[in-house]
Amino acid sequence: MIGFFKGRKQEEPIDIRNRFNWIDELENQKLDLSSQDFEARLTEIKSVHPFLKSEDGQRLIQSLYDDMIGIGFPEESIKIELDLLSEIFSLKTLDLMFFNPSNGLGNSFHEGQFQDLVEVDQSYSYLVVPKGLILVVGSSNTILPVITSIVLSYICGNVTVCQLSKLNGGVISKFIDGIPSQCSAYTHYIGLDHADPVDVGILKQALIEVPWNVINVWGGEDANNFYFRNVAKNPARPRVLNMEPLTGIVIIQKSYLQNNQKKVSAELARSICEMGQQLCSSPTEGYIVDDCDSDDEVDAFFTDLIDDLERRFVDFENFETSYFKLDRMLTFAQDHQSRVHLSKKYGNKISVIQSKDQSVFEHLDDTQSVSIHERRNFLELIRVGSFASLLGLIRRVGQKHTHREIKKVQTILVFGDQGFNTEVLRLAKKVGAYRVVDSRYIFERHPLEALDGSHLINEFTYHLSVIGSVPYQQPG
Amino acid sequence: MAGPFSGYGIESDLRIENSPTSTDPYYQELSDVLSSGNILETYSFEDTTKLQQRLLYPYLEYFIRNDNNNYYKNLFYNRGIAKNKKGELKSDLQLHDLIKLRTHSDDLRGDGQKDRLVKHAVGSDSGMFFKSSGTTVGTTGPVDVFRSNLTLSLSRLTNGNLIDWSIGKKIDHGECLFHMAPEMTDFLAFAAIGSDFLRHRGLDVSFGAKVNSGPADTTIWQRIGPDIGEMRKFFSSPSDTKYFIASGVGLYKMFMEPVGLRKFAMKLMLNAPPVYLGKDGVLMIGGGLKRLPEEITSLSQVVQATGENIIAGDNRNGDPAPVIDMLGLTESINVFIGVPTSPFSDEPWVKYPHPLTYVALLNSPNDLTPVENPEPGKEYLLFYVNLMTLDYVEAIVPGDFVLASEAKGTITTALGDRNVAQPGFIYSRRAEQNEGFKIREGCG
Repeated sequence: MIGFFKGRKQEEPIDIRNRFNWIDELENQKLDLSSQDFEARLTEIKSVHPFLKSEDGQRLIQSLYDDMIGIGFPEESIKIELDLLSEIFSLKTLDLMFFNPSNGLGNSFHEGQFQDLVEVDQSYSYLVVPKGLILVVGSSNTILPVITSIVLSYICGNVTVCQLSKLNGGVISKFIDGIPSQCSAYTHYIGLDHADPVDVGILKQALIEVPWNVINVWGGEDANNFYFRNVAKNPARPRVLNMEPLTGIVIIQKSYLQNNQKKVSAELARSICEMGQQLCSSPTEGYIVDDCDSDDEVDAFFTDLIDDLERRFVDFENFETSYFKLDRMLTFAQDHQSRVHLSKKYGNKISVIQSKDQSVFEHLDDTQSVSIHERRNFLELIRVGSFASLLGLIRRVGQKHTHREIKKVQTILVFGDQGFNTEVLRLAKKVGAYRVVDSRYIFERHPLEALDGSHLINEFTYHLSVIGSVPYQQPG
Repeated sequence: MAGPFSGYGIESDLRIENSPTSTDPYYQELSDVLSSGNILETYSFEDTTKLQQRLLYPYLEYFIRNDNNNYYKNLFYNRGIAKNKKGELKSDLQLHDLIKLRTHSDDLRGDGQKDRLVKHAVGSDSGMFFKSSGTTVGTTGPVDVFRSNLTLSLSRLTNGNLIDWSIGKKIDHGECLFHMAPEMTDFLAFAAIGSDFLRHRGLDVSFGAKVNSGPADTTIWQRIGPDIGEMRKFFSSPSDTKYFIASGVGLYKMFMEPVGLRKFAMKLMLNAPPVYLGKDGVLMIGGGLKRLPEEITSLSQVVQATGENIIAGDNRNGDPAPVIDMLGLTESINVFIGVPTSPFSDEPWVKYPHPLTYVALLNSPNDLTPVENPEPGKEYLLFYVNLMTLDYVEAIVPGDFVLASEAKGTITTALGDRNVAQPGFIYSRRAEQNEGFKIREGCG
């Protein structure tokens, strides 16, 4: 009979405030930040770069490295991320990002000084003002994009809340808490678990009830669906800034290739190898546009490319069943008259497919295709007879099972002469690509460039228009 | 309802004379090889290699001759086996070139086998479809393989060779109980082929499970239950040659899982354990670790725990029955057979192929190169070609890792010494499901 008369456990109603007591402070923090000086925050963040070079900074970086190794991140990718982390905070990068003539703050930098009120003409001026409250949703596999969002959001004058994966959330907060900045005071973490129904309830409540100004989602199909669906019910109508999985392609002019074989091979190999081909900019499909009269094949180029890929090979990890699927893809390609070039040294961990006219994988079903998320050092190069056929091929990139979840082409890597490259630029406009680059910028981001078409600083601020003939001073 | 087991199973008369392929020279050649006695008992490693080399071109030419829609002519050319698409084979082919024709088990799921079938097997009702249990994670349905009566007729011979060789005598009398339901002989290769062979040899075949009625949306696996009457009958039979054929999970559920009252009830119902198999009785097991609880990490744990209760004899004084573990795959017409072993032996369970099964051990999933001299104890990937499967090129990478075993020409088993015709291997594990590290989602 024991327990028979025991009352039912009272279930706590779902309330985000019960879990996160700082929720009610967010409005005050917004006011607090808006009364602070933008330039002071920028100067403060500029001090992070020398700090990271100091002993304390190096200890922090080492500690992040250890944590990430413990989580199971591939060693190579950790090194790359942590190197870039330091780079983001360099004075040059920060100045270029913030006083970028191609974004909204460029005009605020006047004669070496930052000025709030930018006078465009006698009757029109504007202030660049923080949007207020930013929710950053991070993915579990990288730290860099989320840290960039947090820091830029802070410099812009926003309060930032981060929904991070349990996997790497601790690494990100450790970094923000460890740098010499007030950023951590204005950054909060929710770390709710998508697998826990109570947490999901709280997250939904947060998305619907908290008056976010911007929700910056770094994630795949499922994450974006979840956030878009729930944010739609938020009466504050937050702007959703989603960074989805994209891919890169490479377009090569055959005559240029014939004259620059070694260079193209080396640079293309580098573009594929960096970060295990997992960057949205890494080429995962390519085209050799045949602009020559001769029927010469470019077989030697494929040999060079495999050699260069072998030289740069980093064994990120083994995933056994994916290799079976990969082998099935490769034999499918063989069976459909594509040529398969493999590494003698690393087997199908390096695979280059040589196809003609169209991707051999267009008719491959999902049971047989290893998506670009699951494979490394894999490129299909398709020889096409005319430039005109590229438009259709590129439009179909994301429709293949090999490119599932890929929304569009982000980066076009181009190897050609000036006339050819100009054609590629016109094509990029038609397919809605975000970047046309040389091989250096597969890996690197130019501090002035937009991120998938958006400048984060623009997204985290807005222009307060000052119109008419009433005189003002710099508000300070 | 043509099958011999309550209407289920492989039909007794395979009527191979009706198959036009039965006059094919390659079939004739195989028949000659298999009618010359049990080659497992006499062939050396060298003899086996010579036989396989001798059959290589006839085997490939068989598929060109019997090609449907030019599938093999194109395949052989695309994979670098033939000079052109007309089926002219290259002149310097070796056995290891067979890896070029590989099929992964996943290729045989759903309709995967359909395009690969030769003429006599297309749309044929002279044969059966076998399905895997569908337990492999991350796949799309079970492996589904058609076997023509012609291939099944050869399987009677080759699997018969294997079991005779393992037991150490020609099996031609006794009783056997499959710890499965007769319905399963309609689709489960191990049940169908095993029961067919034993029935064909004149043994009494019974089944220790039955399919209960249940909701329409349940699978056969969910409705299967013990057939107490059949088991009791088998266990109490005074025959001195009883073969008890069970899966690891079957043994576990019968003799390990029940404790206390349930154990007592089990004993009351079955009059077992102990199980007396007669002085020549053998326990045959298969199915690996499928459906066993996590704490069971090897089948030897199961046979050790049940060894004292499954006895070769008719009373408590008998020795524990020897165990033969078999690796049966839906996508292999032949089993890979173990040899009789004491359930308490610490020796590794080596599996041996029939000489008509060419086996190569491959480097790794990302390098499918056959290894010339595999290092004993080292892990490799299994690849095999069943040269007697006549319905499609059964050159399979099943996704299983095995350890190379020491290549000995003779071995000692619990039931005497055995000639070894081809090196064996020790089953290690299935390939791991791991999709790896992805950053694209957060790349931007």
